[in-house]
Amino acid sequence: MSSYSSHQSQVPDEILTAEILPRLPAKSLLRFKSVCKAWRSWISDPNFVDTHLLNHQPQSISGRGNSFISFNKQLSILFVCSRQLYTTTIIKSSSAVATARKVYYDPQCPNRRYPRLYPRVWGSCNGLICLETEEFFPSLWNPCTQLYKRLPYCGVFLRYGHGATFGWFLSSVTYGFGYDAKNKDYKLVRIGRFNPLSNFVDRQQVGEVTVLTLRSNSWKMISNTDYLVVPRPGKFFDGGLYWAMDECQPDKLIRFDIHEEEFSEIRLPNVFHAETTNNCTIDIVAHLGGCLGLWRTTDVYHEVWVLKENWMKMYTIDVLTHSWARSISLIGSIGDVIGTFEEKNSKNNGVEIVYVNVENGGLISYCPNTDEFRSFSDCDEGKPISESVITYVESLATILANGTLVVRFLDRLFCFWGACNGLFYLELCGSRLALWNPCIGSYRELPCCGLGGRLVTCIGFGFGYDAKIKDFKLVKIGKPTGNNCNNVHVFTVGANSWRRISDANYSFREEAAKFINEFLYWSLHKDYPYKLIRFDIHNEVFSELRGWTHFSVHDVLKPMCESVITYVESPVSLDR
Amino acid sequence: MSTKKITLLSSDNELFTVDEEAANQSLTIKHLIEDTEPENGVPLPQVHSKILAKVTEYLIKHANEPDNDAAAKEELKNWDDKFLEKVNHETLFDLILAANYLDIKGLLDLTCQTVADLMNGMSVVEVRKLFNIVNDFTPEDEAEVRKRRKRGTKTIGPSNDQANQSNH
Repeated sequence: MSSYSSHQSQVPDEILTAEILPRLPAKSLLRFKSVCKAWRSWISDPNFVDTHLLNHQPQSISGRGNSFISFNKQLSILFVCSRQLYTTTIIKSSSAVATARKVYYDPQCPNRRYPRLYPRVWGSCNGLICLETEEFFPSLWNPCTQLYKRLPYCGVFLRYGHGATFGWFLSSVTYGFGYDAKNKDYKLVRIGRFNPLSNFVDRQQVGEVTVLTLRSNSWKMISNTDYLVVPRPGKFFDGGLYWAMDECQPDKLIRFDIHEEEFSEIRLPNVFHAETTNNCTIDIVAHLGGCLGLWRTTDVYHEVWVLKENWMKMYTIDVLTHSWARSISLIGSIGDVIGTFEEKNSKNNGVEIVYVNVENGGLISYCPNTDEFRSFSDCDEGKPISESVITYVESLATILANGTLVVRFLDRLFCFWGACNGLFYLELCGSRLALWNPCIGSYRELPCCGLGGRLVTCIGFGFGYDAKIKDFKLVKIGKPTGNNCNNVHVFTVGANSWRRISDANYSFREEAAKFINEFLYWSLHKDYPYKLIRFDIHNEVFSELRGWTHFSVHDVLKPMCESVITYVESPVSLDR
Repeated sequence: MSTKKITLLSSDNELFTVDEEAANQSLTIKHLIEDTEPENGVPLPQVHSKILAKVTEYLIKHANEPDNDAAAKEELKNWDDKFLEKVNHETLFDLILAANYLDIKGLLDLTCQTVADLMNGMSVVEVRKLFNIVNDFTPEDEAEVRKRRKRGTKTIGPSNDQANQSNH
């Protein structure tokens, strides 16, 4: 314990830990860890970290946060300039920007497969920042404690498929990062948007929602979604992540509940629909006077709205009369409105909103109550904010993880071919095949299927379980170029090897088989609408199913083909 | 509005008289009055007259807190800042103890925030002195902490090479 002498009044430990230390900024606390052993253990205590965090957050409508501090006078900012990350601070009482500190990260990491030369900042919550310094590998970082954690790769889970899973590509990705207070866990939500390849013109764009929980350190698929969100970072506010929508659905925002993992819609003000939406962009501002804010901008004016019980317009800036307002606009991925200073109980009660000046990469702020603006001046050579920018609170939040990374799909695209007994059968880029149990995180890449060096187009896959020998089997149907025979190979997981069986000369559609009652079923090319091919998983023989004369087999199979494949959660291991 | 006077008795038997409304900001005093209805003043054996004088000064000033008047709030805030301006560390700590014992939330917040602001600009050595704490880390512990902190500021990325280098 701490060693106190007795001649002087002492502050009891309870007051020190409950009333005094939580008021200190995180940086001072990190320093004071070396005061004595007792202080170090207090400051490292997870409950203390939570208390501290709560006291240094802006107040939200649910009443969480900020019990000590009635205003925020400092904004900590992280931004990207010339492919480097920088941190800096601005203070309410001063118009100077603190010298930007360069953040060192290692751009030459040998493991990176898809280096993102332009780092992106995706979110900030409780002092943790979600970065993407290497494409598809988000990471978390606490700029205050310097703790860093690389998160697992998020692959493409499964696709809608009109039969086959081919034909889609990932066109854009957006992340949102937030804190699930009920589970005391951080979550990273990814919305991927898929466009059909050019030869699948009948298909629509679709979105896929995947969530990573920090505690499990793994991604899981939540749902497919028809919401086409603007690929800007989701804004976390009061237990939800908010995204603005694409121009085809401009009348609403979507909110993703971080705990329930469900979407809901928030209608935008009616005047938004009445006007033409040309040249109009909106962006979401978390925490504007304790409410969700909305920034709407056109060529002639900027508006700020807040969501109380209904949407209320806070102010309008007319660009013609406020010439400075021309230099703020929503462009690309810049965080636009980056933060606010708020002060309650003071004479000029209200908020001061900080924007990025897109003309020079500096910062500019506007106080609606007094109709005044000011620019923040750089004090060093000036690092213009050119790409991503975000504000964060300084916190002691630790990045907890009790799992290890097991699944790491290093490929940007893969096809999903089937699920059986909780196992997925995947095709990675470069025709590599893998089995994966998402439930226990087990993953195994399969040996190559030897096809004698000839160019083979794969036209069908199947995956099923042979109950008699208690083993999983994969079936791969390949069509060698310039050859009318379909080679069929079977892989057994137990033997971990491929073998060729007799050819099956049917006109398979390019699709995955359905596994039902020990048979794999394929439908055939549209020239043969009245036939199904089935494969006996144990005896490894093909047979035809006939007899439908009144309707097309595609009509029968279509509902099944279009649905998302479901799987059971199972402990099936891949070690055999 | 009640103008009933309450008498407070310090540990060195000095008497302080305040309005009941002012005294009631202290939940401890409020409960003592309700429970015992003392005739010769509320005995506060843990608070010395020197400190109780300061406490009553605070209680009287804060007796009628303005609700919506921003200018009055501003004025009260300035008064609070002045109130603790010339107080030495020992008195400040005694005030914290008194505010805690008397259960006066406003005063506890004010004094603790003052200590926190004070500490914010201090070095580790100064903080130890302020709280009379003896450094119980061994030189090896300290070297380890220094090393870790140095490493932390160097890189955030998964660069194992650098981490290994600073280990050797």
